[in-house]
Amino acid sequence: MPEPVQREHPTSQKDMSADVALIGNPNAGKTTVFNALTGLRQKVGNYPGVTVEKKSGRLNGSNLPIRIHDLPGMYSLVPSSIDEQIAADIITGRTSNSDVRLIVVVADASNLSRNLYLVTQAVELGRPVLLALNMLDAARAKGIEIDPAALAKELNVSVVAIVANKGKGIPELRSKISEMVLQQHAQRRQSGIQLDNELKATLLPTREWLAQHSALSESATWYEAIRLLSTDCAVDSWAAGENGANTQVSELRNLIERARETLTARNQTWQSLETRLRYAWIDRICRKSVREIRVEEVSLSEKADRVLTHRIFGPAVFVLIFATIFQTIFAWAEVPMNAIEQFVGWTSTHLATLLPDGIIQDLLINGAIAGVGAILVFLPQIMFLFFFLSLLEATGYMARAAFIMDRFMRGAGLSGRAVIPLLSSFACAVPGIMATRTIRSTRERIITIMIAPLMSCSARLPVYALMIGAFVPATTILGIFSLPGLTLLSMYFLGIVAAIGSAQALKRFAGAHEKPTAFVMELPPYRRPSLRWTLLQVWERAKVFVTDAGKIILAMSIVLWFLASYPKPADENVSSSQAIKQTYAGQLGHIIEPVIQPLGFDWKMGIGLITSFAAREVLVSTLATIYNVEGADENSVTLRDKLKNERDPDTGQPVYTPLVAVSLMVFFVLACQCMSTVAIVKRETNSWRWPLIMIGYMTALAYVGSLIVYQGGTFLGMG
Amino acid sequence: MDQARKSSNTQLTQPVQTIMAEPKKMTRDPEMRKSLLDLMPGETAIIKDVSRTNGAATNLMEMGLTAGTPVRLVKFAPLGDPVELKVRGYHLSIRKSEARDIVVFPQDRD
Ligand SMILES: Nc1nc2c(ncn2[C@@H]2O[C@H](COP(=O)(O)OP(=O)(O)OP(=O)(O)O)[C@@H](O)[C@H]2O)c(=O)[nH]1
Ligand SMILES: [Mg+2]
Repeated sequence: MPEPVQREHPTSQKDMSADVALIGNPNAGKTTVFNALTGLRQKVGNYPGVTVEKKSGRLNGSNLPIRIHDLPGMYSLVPSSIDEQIAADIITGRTSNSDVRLIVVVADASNLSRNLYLVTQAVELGRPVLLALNMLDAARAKGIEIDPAALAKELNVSVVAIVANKGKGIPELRSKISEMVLQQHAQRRQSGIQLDNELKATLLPTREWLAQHSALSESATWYEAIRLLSTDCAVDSWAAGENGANTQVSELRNLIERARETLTARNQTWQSLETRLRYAWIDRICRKSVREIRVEEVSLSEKADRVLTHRIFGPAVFVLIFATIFQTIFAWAEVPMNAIEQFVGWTSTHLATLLPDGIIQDLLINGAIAGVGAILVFLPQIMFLFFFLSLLEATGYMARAAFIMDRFMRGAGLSGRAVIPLLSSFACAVPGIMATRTIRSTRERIITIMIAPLMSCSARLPVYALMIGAFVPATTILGIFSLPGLTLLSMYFLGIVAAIGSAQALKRFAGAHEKPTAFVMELPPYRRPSLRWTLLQVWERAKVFVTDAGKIILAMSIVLWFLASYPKPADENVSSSQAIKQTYAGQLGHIIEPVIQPLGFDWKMGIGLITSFAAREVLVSTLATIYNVEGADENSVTLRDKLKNERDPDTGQPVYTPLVAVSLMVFFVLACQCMSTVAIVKRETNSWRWPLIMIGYMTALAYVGSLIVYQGGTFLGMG
Repeated sequence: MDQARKSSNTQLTQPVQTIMAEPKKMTRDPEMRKSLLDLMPGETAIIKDVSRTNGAATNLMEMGLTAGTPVRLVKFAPLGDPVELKVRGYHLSIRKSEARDIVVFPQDRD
């Protein structure tokens, strides 16, 4: 049975589990440890800044109720971006009386001295600390031998040596966590940077203020005081917090100022004092616990970078990688796509024979199955896209992409930091927008959020694939490039170009006066991705895509089926294409037709445009439902064929020409048709201002873009 | 800001008092301020002072670019900026505008 949990602070009774926080430098392997401890599958990637919010889970294999919190990475307790602030606040108790029972610091052993910076800061907080010394395999490969016992002695904390991605040392870590949660009152001699008496006297007033105004422990207030003394950014996180009522913080600022004056008068420097003292201590620790058993040679990673970030090959490889991805998405998905198409067709014909004719059969086959099936067909392409993006994230190439692109991004008022969120937006803008939390400058962050939805996301893929599959002939250019692949590539390219242009324009709005912040980014060593893990992540993301999209689409398809079926025409003999015109959907469509006619769209596409504002892929299911209801008496199977055969009932001309298809795709590249994106922008920017601007500017772009394509194309005689 | 400049590359092993002390007036190499950007790709030098890097000084020091630490300029990005450094066994990318303000000890070339 779990031991009764004793608490120092009164907290709500309903939840008795003990909180354990995982902190560490970015990319030190915290989430890998978290997944191993909890059995969950949070996102792991080989670049700094994968985790940007707190994720929690229960510790497996312990009979104590222990809750583990995975936090964003940080280099120090002085946060310089939003994600770091989240982590720092939780463990310092600066802004709230957080109740973290144990801090597990995950440190990258192959990079020990820099990792120890945060470790030593954590030790000084006065809470129980456990050091999980990770990546020992990588350290050994580098020729570094670490003595965990010596480290434990120097720091006065327990150390568990692990290799998280191989599961080595995880059982020991698990039992050590349980043990430490139980014996929380065990006294330890606490270590920290040395402060001499003179310095202590100078810091005393600041320290007393902190003791009064925060939940920091007695000893922790000293170290926070020296942190405040050493850098101006440190006080900002006090001002930002809940208990940072402005008058009080100005009091604090005065105390700091006075302490600085004292030091200056004594001919001592206060700038970066903490950092200097801390690294002096760290270098002492390293001398006692780290041994270089062999001189470091040029690593495999460095050799790879000779090509991958090479002056000429670097950018070439960058372009080649993405071109290949979008080409293969199209080529490889063909076979599974056909299989799913046939399966869907088989299901509906089978159901038709099983179920009696009538409303239920009609609703199921022409509503639900047509709608959901139309999307399922494109699942292989989406999965290939996820697969390639996961590979890029796992290898460490993302950080190189940021390195290569920084100079280029600066032209658009951004930095290399924006590259990773924008590349993630190729999968989905929602995580992409979340990832902007790692961007330090508010201005750059806002611009990145605003242009992220212009990156073609996986939900657009079904629309592109449908149109390209139906109207772009599968010919080859120059022997290697397939025309459909190139068309797809140009849609992605159009989105990127529009994003750069928009960033230029937004620069003026989003706080033009703000000084550009520095671009400081770690380039982690390349790692071999685990195929199993990559496939698991693809599976996980695909599942989310299917369930999320599935729910919307199912509901939407049923509503649409109703709208496109009723009212039934009085005259039974009227053809179904005439009948649909009189239904609710038909009436609605004809109202908006004048607006979209200049873009080359008919009223059915208009209905699709409306429904796709919920989510883009809904267009495909909308068209499928409408054509199915309408063409109930035909027997063309696939949606692609239905589009090709669709004729204007009055003129007998095909409704879809390649030009219409391109115009429709351009609309989808540029339009903001995604409720989740709007909701996340609202949440991340804390106002309606930016989401509204986003909807406005993107809709305008989309309309004008399509108009130019269709009218221009018609003028040139391509209609 | 000038006060943060250090004149010694051995202070890492020194007691607190010395770390805090004001650097003595430099008489040797008065105008020989050498920037990290003066290095050739592949060259290594010892960091003397990063406090002049506007806005990024704290960050860079926290990440281990402290006075006395060896740093290698690995390469420039394809478009000429940013630069890749190797420091304390890991690779870091910063912009030229910051790298320019990092002062390193001039090396004795022979
Ligand atoms: N060689 C080696 N690689 C590891 C080990 N643990 C984790 N990794 C890899 O290190 C990379 C980073 O892992 P994450 O768990 O995402 O790191 P994180 O600390 O959560 O990173 P952020 O969320 O960005 O702060 C991934 O590529 C992991 O597969 C290890 O013990 N040895
Ligand atoms: Mg993580």
